[in-house]
Amino acid sequence: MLLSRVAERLYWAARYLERAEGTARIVREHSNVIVDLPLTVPPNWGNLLGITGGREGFDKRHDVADEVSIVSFLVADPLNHGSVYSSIGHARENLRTCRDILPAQAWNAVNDLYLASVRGAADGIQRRYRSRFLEKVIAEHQRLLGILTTTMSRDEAYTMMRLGRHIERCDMVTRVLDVRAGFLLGGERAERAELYDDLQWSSVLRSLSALQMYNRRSGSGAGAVEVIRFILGEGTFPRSVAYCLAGVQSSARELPPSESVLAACRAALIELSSSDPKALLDADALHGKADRLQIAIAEISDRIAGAYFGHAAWPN
Amino acid sequence: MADLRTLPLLWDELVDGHGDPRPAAAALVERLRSLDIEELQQRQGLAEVDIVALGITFTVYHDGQGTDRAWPMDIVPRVIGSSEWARIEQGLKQRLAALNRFIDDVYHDRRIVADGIFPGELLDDSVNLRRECAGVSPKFGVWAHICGSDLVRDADGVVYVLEDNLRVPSGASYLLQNRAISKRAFADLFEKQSILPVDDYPDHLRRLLASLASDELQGVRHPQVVLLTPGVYNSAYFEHSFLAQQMGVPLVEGADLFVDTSDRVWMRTIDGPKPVDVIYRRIDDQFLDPEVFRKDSHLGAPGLMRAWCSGNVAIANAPGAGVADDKVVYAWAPDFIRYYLGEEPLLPNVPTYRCLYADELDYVVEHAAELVLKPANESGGYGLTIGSAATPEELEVAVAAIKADPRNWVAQPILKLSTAPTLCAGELAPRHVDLRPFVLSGHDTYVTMGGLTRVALVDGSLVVNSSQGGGSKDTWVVEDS
Repeated sequence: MLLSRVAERLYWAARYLERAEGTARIVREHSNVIVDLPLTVPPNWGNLLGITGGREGFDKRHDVADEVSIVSFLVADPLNHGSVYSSIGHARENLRTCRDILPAQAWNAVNDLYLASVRGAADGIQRRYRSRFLEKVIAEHQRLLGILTTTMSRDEAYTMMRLGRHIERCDMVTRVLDVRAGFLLGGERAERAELYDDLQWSSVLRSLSALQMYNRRSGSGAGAVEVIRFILGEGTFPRSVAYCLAGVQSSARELPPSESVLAACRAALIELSSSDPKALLDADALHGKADRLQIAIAEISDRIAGAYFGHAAWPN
Repeated sequence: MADLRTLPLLWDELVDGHGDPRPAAAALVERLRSLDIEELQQRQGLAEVDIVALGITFTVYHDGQGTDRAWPMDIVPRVIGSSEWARIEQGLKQRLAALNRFIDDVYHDRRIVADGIFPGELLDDSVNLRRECAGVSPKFGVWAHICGSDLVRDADGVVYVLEDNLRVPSGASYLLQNRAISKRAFADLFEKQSILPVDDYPDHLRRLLASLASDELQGVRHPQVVLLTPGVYNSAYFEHSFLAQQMGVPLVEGADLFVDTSDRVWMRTIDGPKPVDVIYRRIDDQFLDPEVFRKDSHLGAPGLMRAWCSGNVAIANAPGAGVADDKVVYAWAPDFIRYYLGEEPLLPNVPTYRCLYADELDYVVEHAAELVLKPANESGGYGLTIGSAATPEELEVAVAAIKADPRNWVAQPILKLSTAPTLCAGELAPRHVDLRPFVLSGHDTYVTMGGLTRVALVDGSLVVNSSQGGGSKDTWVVEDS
């Protein structure tokens, strides 16, 4: 038995936490890779806004899109609902009312994560402290996941969080692929930038913490087709689209039956398997693919809300 | 070595006037005297770390902002002998039986008024009387299922009932948490003597709540119990969440519930509507049902009163139970015991002057400086004047208010609350304490073993409320026979 209200809060808390971790990984990797790029290759911080989908909000309040303004917007800005800082705050607000459901240690971990973000987010803007802060966010979220994995019954509450986590990660992966890979495949590139493509493709993988697993799997350099195939279709890697969608589907199957949610999962899986990665070696084709996947994911999320959070279906 | 200081002319809970330990506290006092103050402070420090780690908090409101604070607990327990406790327990059971009979009578025939024992006019404008409850007969005839009585001990050692909290009393979760902490602080003493357990409270509470479900459910399904909270911004939210978790029942908010056209209560789950049979509500009557009470309330659910009146759902405490939780009605509690049970009260009331009666009013006016003057329908100490501490002007204002509205005022002698040694300001200092046991009434009556001891941490202060700088102690009922 899980109350709809509690289900909704758990689902969104898991999404917010996953978003905070995902954003932290992306910013960390971008900060690392630009150090290696020659000055002729612009660092393109604006890319990050494309990934996290906050460009409009950013443009409204900032005239200059440079490293400091973009990183502070993504990491520490309380007015940006998608910032690491805000995401953690939203997650904590949602979980505050679920303390009777979560293992006690899990709430403590959420609090520690929150306190770390309150104390450290502002420092995270400066390059010197940035990695340390972002790694703290990632590590604290991983600790929370460890607590949930090892101490929480696999009941509907757990499944609801798992569902939210996979939906969010799936969404994030498609965005990274779209923006970072799309940029590499695009036309307007700096002179001699292609010399650094291997570095850049590795960096795409690293934004998803996928490089090591990719290397083990492929044993070759980071070629465009292989990278795209890995990120979309590598079912054994937990930060691939295929893995996340499978996680969404298996979670949905554990909840009270909803044909509408399961149908949306099937549609997303069909969309995923419908193109050959070779056909995606073109910025427009890849962008179209990512777009369709994101729409399919959003559709699953909408149907989850309709089936389980039930605002429309209830009397009164 | 820690010294146990006492105050002249006051009763101390651990040692007598000669500094000798009271019998039940002998082992504890011996231990306290064997430790130096630094060691005690170290144990206190560890307890405070545990409290933070366990997330034991309460919420303080200031400028509309709620802040979670660590629960203040003094590690030095308060001790009561089991034979004294047995008498207190009997007294509480007796008192609750009579109070429940009174509430039931109020909403039915009002025999007590017809028989001239209780003045009916006090009911007519009581703010806690709910006319909508007239004629309703809750199971077992019980209205106040969960009661948190406040007990105090005067200088002569007599334990009095100061207040009956019959609406939504809180504190039971802290009683349990204090025990968890004190077991760590004085682990060895728990091995050496029999300290009676308190941990079974959630079990008793769950069984009581389940027993309130309609008899028609027998053999149909297990009754579904829920705990209804006003939400995370309530100062007792920690307790709501803790008790729900301990009992394994859903913690619901008003918006999670709805009442259908056949007056049945449902909760909204991811698997569709599920029936609700018993509601342990932690919101006041006024917010329970906007169809009947406050129209602007979003804390309850429309139709709950319909469902309760039809017998489709049990509500604990029952709506309207607060009619017996009134500082004027309190004065008649000993009469209720005599009238309904035909027994003499085992636990005394604090003597209470009822300004409603001319002779008692005259006494109050004349002796205002020696009395506590209490308005009937305020709580949390609001509107209360302590005669000995008031300026002549303040006293004059209070007396004028009483003369203008005598039926809504009572007065009591100023009690000299007992003290217990408390670790503060680098010593074990005597600080005033009270005691809140919890009484569960249904088919049977259960009283917690001891209760929540609240302590005024400021020297000389009588204010024990945690929101105003009060602290708490574990209460040990120690086997002494």
